[in-house]
Amino acid sequence: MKKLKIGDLFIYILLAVFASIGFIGMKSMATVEGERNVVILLDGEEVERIRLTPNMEEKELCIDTDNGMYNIVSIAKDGVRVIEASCSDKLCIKQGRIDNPGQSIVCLPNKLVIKILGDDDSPVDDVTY
Amino acid sequence: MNMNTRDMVILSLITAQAVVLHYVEGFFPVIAPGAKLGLANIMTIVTLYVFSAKHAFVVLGIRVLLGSLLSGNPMGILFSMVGGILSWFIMSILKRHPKHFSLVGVSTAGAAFHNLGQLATASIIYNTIGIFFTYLPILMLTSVITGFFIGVASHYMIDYLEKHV
Repeated sequence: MKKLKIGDLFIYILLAVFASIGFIGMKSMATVEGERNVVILLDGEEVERIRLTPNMEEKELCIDTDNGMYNIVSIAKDGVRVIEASCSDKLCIKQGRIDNPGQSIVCLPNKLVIKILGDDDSPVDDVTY
Repeated sequence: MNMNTRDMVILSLITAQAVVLHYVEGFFPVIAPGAKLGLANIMTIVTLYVFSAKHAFVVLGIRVLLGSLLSGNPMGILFSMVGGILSWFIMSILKRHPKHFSLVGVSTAGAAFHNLGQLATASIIYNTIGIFFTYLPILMLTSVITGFFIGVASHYMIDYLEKHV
């Protein structure tokens, strides 16, 4: 009665297999969920859309507005920030780096909005049982 | 399901105990959503071994219904029912081969499939496959631990019932 039998071993192996499926599933889900897109809007219109990937090189984009104003945006694997701007208040630079879906940088004088969008917006925040 | 008064009384007592265990379990802190001790499962296993799979199913059904209503969690009926039926199903199959599966093995499989059923229901209802994978490893681990203790506890209770009642 107290002794483990051969079928019990089979059950433990089965559970170990389930657990590994969970780990593998988790890994493959993580890359999908981690996808982020940087969207740059100028006066409400999308001018640039770049996917943030873990091994991308840092690049600098110069966004020119019609009236000779500009913002220089740095996009790297660890986030997005404005490094130089022609606007008077420089608030866009002071907003610093953003890296999470849902965050944004706004430069009001130049009517520039930089947003990070996640690929899939999770329908729930939290689950309780 | 013909049964005499004695069986009926014992089954009623078992069901009442199962409801209380189900309710009391709600007070224990959980390390992961769905990871429970499975105390009420003792009663399902005992019924399965002392009576039959049919009896165990009835005890399980009444326990889930009453237990979930008692703890004020009607949503829990769905989760517990799916998990419970899946667990009952696998346990009643394994129980038929006592040569190959010990009580601890049966109870571990029951715990694991209860968690699987609950997890699958949750991921369907909340429409995210992510939680299924995330909680699968931890729930399998807790199933092994709780399944062992529940199996041992059931062993003592079955022993007692067969000797004294």
